[in-house]
Amino acid sequence: MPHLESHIPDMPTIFYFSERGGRLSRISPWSKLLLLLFFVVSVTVIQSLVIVLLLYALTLSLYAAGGLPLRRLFGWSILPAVFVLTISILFIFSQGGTPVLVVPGLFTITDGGIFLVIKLLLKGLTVVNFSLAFIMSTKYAEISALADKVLPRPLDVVFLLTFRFVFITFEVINDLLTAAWARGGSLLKGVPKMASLYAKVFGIGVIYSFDKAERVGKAMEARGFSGELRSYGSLRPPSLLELAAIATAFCAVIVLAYLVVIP
Amino acid sequence: MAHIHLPDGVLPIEWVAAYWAISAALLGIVLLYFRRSSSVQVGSLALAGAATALAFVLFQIEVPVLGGIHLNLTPFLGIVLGPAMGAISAIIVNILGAAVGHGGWGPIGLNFIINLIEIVAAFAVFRLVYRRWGNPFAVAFMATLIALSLSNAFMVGSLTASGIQGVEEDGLEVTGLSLIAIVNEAAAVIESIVTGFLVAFLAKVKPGLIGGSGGAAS
Repeated sequence: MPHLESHIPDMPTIFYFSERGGRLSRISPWSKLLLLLFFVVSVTVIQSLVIVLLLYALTLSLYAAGGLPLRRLFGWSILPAVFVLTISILFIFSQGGTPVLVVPGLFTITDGGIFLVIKLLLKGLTVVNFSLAFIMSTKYAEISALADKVLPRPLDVVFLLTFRFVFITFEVINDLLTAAWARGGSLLKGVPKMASLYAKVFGIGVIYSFDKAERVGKAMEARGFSGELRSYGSLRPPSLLELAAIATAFCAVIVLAYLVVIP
Repeated sequence: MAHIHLPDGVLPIEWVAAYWAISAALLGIVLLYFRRSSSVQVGSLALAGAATALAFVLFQIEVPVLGGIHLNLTPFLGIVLGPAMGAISAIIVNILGAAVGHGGWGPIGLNFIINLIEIVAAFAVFRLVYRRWGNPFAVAFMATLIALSLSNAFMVGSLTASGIQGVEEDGLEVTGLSLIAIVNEAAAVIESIVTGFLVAFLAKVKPGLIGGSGGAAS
């Protein structure tokens, strides 16, 4: 039966965990945003496999400490891992290093190639871990308020509307797919028939969404929308301790990336 | 997938910064257009919100063809929303995608430029050809395929220029990336067929959405 893929995080699940609260929810959203920037910069500038491994372990620990579901995280990591492997897997045969597996006349796999793929995988997944920990520990109202403060107009307005529509659209598409499959969709064979079925499901989804958008647009106009969609969620400012910890982490990354050589 | 959403840690820092700067400039032009334009209606903002949410949700569906593929639907966004609102939509899809691990935060700059190529190319081809041919399936198929092929070529070119962190031999990057481009192109054909059917379906039941493809929201 078709469904919204279990290897991609779905918004209702994310919403459930973000509203439930937990240890990470006590950290200011601003601090979490800075931490996200820290991890993105870190995996971009650091080349040491050991440090990248430590960063991955750190984000995994933070995710687990927040009481978030680890098994789901591993499932959700499949697609990002596929992205990394698609780009890097061929280099496993071409990197310099000590040969680990040699098939004469065909290929040679070196330790350098294996380390490269592992490093790129860990880098990508480090940020995925923290991104998910961030959004699954930050309430809907806080993310809305953050978007309202950070994004320029009309990007913020469209973002806030999108964020609201995602949940409704998710339910509608899931129901449409279930109905199509229950009516014999699984019996269809061949690319054109299957593509046509999915296009019709998507088409009904488009019509539903756009009708909904029209109604929302009229309601906004009726209420005197002037180009500004305010979010009334509150944002806790970062504590001094949080700021000090983040500043220290940034300094450590600069030292580790540019001043100290670690394999 | 018709193109890959690059994860964090693949691009060198100077290229991450360069792509961010270019995409910020492009986004700045779009935002300036909206600030100066008096034609942006509240309805079009709501429409863009709905279309963006839809594109984000539809990406999560695996179409059981060729072993299962996910569609990006950015060319469809270009056809329906037009290039300006399509650009707004693309950056939001990228932000939401990065939040759930579908593409990185650092490469949002490059991913956004790739999406923008798809949106602008699909919009331009559809707008130019639809009024003459009047066959929504064929025109949407062609517009999507051209758009995805262009973005695919750009992705290979940009990755070849920037290189991948830690890769030693440059020549092999081109070979590897060309193989990826071939696989992406196969997925692009499927996405083009689905988009063709989708636009043809909308032309029947809601022609106003794509009529003349002036971009429903621009």
